[in-house]
Amino acid sequence: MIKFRQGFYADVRVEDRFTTSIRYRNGSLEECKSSSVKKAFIRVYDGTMWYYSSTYKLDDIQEELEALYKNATANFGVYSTPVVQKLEAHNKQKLVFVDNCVKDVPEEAKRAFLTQRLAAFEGCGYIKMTTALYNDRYSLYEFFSSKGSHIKYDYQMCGASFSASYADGENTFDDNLQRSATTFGALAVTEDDLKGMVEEDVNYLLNAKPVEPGSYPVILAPVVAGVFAHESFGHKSEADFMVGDETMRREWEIGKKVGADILSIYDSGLIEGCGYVPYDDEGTKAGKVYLIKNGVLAGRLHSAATAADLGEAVTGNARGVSCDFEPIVRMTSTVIEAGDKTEEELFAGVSHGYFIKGIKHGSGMSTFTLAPSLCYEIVDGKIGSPVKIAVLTGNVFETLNDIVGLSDKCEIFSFVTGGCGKMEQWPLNVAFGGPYVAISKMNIS
Amino acid sequence: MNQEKLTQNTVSYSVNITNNAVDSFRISSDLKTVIRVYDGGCIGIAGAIGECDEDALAEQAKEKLTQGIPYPESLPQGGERTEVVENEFFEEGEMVPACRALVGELACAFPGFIFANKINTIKYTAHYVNSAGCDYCYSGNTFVISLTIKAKGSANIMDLGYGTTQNYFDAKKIVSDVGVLLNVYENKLPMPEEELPVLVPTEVLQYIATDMIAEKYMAGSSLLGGKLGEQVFNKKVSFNVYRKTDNTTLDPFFDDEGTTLEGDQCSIIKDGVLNALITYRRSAANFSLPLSGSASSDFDGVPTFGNSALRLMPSDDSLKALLGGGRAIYVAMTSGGDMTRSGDLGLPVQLAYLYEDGRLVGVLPEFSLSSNIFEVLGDSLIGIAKNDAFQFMDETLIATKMKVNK
Repeated sequence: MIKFRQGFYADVRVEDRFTTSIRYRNGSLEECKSSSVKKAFIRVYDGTMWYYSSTYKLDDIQEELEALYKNATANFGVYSTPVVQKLEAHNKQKLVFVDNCVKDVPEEAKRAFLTQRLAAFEGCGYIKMTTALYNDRYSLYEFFSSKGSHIKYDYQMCGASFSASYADGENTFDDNLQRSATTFGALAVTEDDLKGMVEEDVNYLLNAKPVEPGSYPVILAPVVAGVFAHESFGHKSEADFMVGDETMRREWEIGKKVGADILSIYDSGLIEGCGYVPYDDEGTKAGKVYLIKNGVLAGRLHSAATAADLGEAVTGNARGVSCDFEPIVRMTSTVIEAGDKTEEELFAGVSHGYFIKGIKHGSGMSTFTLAPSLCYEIVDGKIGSPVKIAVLTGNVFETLNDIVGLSDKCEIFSFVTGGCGKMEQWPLNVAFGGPYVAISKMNIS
Repeated sequence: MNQEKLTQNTVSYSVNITNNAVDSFRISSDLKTVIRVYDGGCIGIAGAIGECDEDALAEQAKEKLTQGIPYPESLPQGGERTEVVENEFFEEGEMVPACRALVGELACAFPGFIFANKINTIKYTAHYVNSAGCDYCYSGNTFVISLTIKAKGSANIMDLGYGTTQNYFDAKKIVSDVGVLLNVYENKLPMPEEELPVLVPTEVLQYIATDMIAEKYMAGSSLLGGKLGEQVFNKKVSFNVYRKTDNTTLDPFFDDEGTTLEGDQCSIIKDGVLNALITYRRSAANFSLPLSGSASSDFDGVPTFGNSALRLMPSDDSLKALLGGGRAIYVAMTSGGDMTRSGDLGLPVQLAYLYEDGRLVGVLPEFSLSSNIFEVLGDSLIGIAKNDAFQFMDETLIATKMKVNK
């Protein structure tokens, strides 16, 4: 039982994280491990400063807490400070995955999930190296605060990634197929999926040509649109960039027109997948927050500190990548809402442009960058030859206004490798998605 | 049965800065132990966080042998070596006052800007022992300065950054360095008409470094395929696994498998020639290649290749002398960027300065750079040198020619 002192706000977050990682390279087992790591992150606030401790000594949490109290200065008005006023107190337990826990799935079954599908890579002379990866994670979180919170909830994801490196002489190409699910039984990758990937990749390897750098109409596939939403606008919606900055508040005033009328982007911790965060790492309950609604700035993402500074409501977006770090404002699942056109109608509107089907990574400041994998020319509304594109770039606000069409179905993705990075904290489990998105012009090089 | 143990102990203090004020202080401690056993051509691994019963851990590792993960059994032979690099380190009570003083000086010296993000100090010890008699220990500490800077009145989430790792803390030099960037920040210049050299960070090598990994190279999917022993870049390019303990990034003189290097370095690219591949014990054995000292491992994982100790070595003593006192475009901040599998680079530049005679003189408009990696590091290369515009920031730059897309 943790004893909290008067004169301070304090909370303790404990995560018991189970992970599995299995890797085959060229069919040979290279890694097979299951880990359980239990750590705690302790916070004390005295109304002026936060004091944190990250520790693996779970038997010493009280001592760690006492040490932080010594660094801080007692303030018997701390519960009246705007930050502490914003912190919620919940007494809830939400254990969703106990009956379908990846901890209970035998290691042999996880290995077999990979080995049973490796045959899809056989017989292709262009494949020089293959990697098959299985990852899972089950986290049991427990959160206590001096405001009376006691929350217990769990999180689970599992997934597989199949990668291939191709070569035709000096011409090379790498690609991968990833699938994820919240339970092992729901994880689905068929041999046909993989054979389809190999067939498309070989065509790309043999036929992709460089593009002439310039500005072109593009259509982003849902997975690319999701990364675009995350990088181009999601990070700008994280309110810690606005704390104490009057200019930012004016520039980011709610109600300001920031994109095309058809554009709506939201973030939600309630969606099943990598971005599922029912309570954030300050104990705030998750919700759905529109960042852009019909082209207009509609909201932003908050921790208690940023919500207090900006005089807005908490949103459940204070997250740390693990108990090694303090919670900061982060996204959960960031999604562009679907529009009203069919996929065919979107493509029919492009006489010459490019279809960005796959993505390696993206980043975003005032200029955003997307590094695509598979790309195709669009000619007279039809998908044409494969092309090589190093990066797509653009000014965020110009590009948000250049969105001219959205397809009518939205897909949401959870990657099983990598994650979102912000400053020192990487990789954070997030999800993203959207429909097919048509943009009138983007810079391609 | 061969056995090895790696213990890593990290203590760090971290200060967070928000809107020109220190608003939090974090204490972190971490202790990781891994025991690996080798028998019958396989590896068994067990790891622990925190204090542990090593005998029990060794037994767990032995049980993991049944997983049948193939791995070479050879271990580094014999030898004891200890390197304790004792640099300045803030004790728990010293960190916040020192950082408050620095932030105060920055806010006072540059009232038109807002400073944020982190200053960390880290103490790290790695201890490797094996059943062949090896006993290696490294201990070091460092400061990581990572400041984001925003001009007051700017709508960007940040406009520029200042970051470096150093084995000492010198607030005056940090303020001086930041002044190099900010004193000319409002001097907005047009893009020069003439073609100028560009000064790009060495991170651009990340796009080609994976092609030097043994598995990728030997599989035939490397851009450098078949060129081991051949000239692939300009003679001024040398790319080393650098494990000398004068590094500021806490890379020990041994890798995570206890591999040490002659002179604590291994040349992957030597004078432009692909001299070696990035290896660890498994890839070296599989392909009969020398060890490059590049093994990296999770606390309970099978070792694999890592690239933390890779360094592009300067070819020239002074950037100013290299450029003959002339002008160049200094790329201070990029936004993403990538390379196609043909080696074509696209590099969006978020912030660039005009560099002239060893100084930054003003800010250039946003643009992007494009070229091919073999040109950037080949015929177009002018040289590689430390950025002498700064006193404290330890930055190596590639001076080369690239297409500037305005």
